[in-house]
Amino acid sequence: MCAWTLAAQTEKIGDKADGNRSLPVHRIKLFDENGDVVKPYHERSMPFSLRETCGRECHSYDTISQGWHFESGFGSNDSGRAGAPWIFSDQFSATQIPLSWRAWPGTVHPQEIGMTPFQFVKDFGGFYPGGALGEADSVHSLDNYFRWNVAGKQEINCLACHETNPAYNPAEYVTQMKKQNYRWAATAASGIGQMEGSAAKMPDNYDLYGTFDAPSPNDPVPMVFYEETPFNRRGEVLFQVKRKVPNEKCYACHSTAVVGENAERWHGDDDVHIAAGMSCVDCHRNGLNHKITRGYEGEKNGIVSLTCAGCHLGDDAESVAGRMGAPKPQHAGLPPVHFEKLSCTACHSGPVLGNESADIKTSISHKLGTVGVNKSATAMPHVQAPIFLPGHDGKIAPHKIMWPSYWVDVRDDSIHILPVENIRTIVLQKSTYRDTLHSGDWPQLSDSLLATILDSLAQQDTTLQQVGYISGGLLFTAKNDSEVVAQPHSAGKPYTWALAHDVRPARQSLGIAGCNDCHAYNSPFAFASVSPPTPVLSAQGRVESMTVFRGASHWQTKLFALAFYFRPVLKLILAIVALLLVAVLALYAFKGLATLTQNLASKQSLDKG
Amino acid sequence: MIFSIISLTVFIIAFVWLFTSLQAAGRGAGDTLKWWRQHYRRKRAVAHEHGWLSPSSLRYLSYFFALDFLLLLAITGFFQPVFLLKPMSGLLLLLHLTIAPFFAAALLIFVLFWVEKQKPKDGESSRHKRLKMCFWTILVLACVSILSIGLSMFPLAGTQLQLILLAVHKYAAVALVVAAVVHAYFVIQLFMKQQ
Repeated sequence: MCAWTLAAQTEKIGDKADGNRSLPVHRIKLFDENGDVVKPYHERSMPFSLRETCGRECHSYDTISQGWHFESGFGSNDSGRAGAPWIFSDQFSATQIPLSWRAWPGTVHPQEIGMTPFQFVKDFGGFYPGGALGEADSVHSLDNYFRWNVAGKQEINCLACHETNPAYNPAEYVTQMKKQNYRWAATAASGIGQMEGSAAKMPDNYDLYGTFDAPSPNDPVPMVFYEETPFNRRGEVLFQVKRKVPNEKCYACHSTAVVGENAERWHGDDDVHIAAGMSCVDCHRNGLNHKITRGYEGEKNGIVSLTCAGCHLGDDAESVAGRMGAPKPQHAGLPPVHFEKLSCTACHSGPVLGNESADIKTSISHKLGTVGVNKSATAMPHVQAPIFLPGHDGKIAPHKIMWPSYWVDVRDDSIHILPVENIRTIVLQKSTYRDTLHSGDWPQLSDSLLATILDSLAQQDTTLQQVGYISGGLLFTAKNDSEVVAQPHSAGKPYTWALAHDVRPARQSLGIAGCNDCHAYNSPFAFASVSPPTPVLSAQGRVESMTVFRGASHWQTKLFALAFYFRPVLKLILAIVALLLVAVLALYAFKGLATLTQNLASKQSLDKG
Repeated sequence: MIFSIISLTVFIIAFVWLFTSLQAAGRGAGDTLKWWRQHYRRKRAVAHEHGWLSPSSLRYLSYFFALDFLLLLAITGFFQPVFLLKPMSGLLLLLHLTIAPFFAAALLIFVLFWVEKQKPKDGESSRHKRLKMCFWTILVLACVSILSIGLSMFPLAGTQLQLILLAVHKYAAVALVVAAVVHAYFVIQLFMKQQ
């Protein structure tokens, strides 16, 4: 009883639905981070705080902050299947590193490259909707204590997903985060207030509440200026928030573009589910804790009926087949072993594979949709898709892949990643980076240039044991002044993560044209070329077959594929043999029947006689 | 798992019965194999003399070949599902698919040559009756086995029907192997008696 009372007390009015399925109107007062009502006509207004505005009376902010998007691995020991990393890329030092605060094998923990939560939020916060990294004191290091005070906390930005007002500008959010205007970013992006100044330009002792002269006329102190229009006479603002997040909000951070494909936007198609009128959140649902169902098979605490198989096949006891009108596929002629060895996505998802894996760009890694984005085809980081390899459940699934590239100190058998800042200077001095400056690509490194850079790095810091460069799966070390030695190294292993979208229509799935879609002697599914990207000229053009990534024998797979040329012959022989055997059986069955009837007739005659 | 247990049990029972029956008939497994080899060599010599495609050669050799191919099919087909509890794949699957048409052709030739003699007759010995019953059983099971897997190769059956066809193929194949073993035993018994 006591526990129930406590729960009832802590539950806020928006936490639990009362059964009404209409859209609640959100005409509300804005509160700043101190809990004071925001008044637009104040001379030095504070930005509104979403923790206070949304979480004060209506929504349990702390529960929401457990969501995958916000907790960043700090709120859960089980981060589930390896997912998309945060990719740190630096064009000038030819560096690209898959980062994650979660313990996903193959990713690098940001602290390994000396990145604090503050720096992380500065670099990636534009695509991070706030939460643990941006606001939890337990996560923050003391190193940036003063900077956090100046920039403010990056609270969960509810508007990033739920605000459907077209005035909400995600690109503005990214811009403000780059300026270290963490506490102001959501206000500026909402369009309710306009932002001036940059916290990044303010010194560590900048006092938000005091009087502070701007360091220079060009660098005004960070300040928000509210538009008066959105406020009514009671000081309330109407938010057009929706529980069911529109697809475009998801796309702000979760777009993937295949380089060179659909150069004209109108040439491309949407995911088949979207085209059918569904939305991302129809499958990727969540409760108050915002632990959004990722939708893969075997997901802990996932909902079976929201996986591909659960919705479309419904073979599992927990499934609810046909949810949202999902058609049940027949898979006519497809041997059932395929369901044991392949994920649904293997045949149905991702870009159609050509003879080579395609270069792709993603919103977060390439800052798509932001101001000043480099639209060049070769802009870093270099990510490819699809690569078919066994996923978390051992089934072959399409993956995105990236090969890390970074500078290291090789100590005995371990490697230590060197800070980018020092390297950038040296590479800039030595390389012909201007050739690739505008393309956003890394500088091209000849062996002699690489040897020179490695030598310079070693001379700069004599405590380093052996300086090396990891790229394209190889570790490069200097042999002499102009030569390098390349050898495969575990640190260069690519990081891969499963992809599930866009789902193609059934008639564009693999196998629709028959077994040869995948089992032909030169089918891309089995034998497409994958070329690890690297700036080192001597290592470029190295090609690996798709079979390598699956851990399969290339020649065995070739032999197996070869067998499919004889499959029509096998079918023909089996058909002829089966027909003749059945004919023989039928013939003798009729003969037997004839004998039986003759015997019966003669027996009848005998009886009469 | 269920298929593995059932097929393993059936094979063990079949082979134990075969060996105990051979022992009871005063023939060890070694002796029988030796006799089998000698018999095969004799038929091969006949084939060399009359040509491999002559009816007299094909009549007997088709039986030997069908049996040999069936043995190979059984090894390649049952090893992974029965002992490793996983679906057929890789080289074994490749071998299985390669051998299958040869088995089918050999079986067809064997059936065409011998089917007329397998009609039941009045007053024949029980040994002959059992042999003929085995022949017809093999013929029915081979039909079922070949048809089930053949149909699954065409885009006709959906997943559920595919699973049924595959199960039919697997269990029919187990029964076919057992029927072939029993048939071979009766053949040996008959020929040894004649000798």
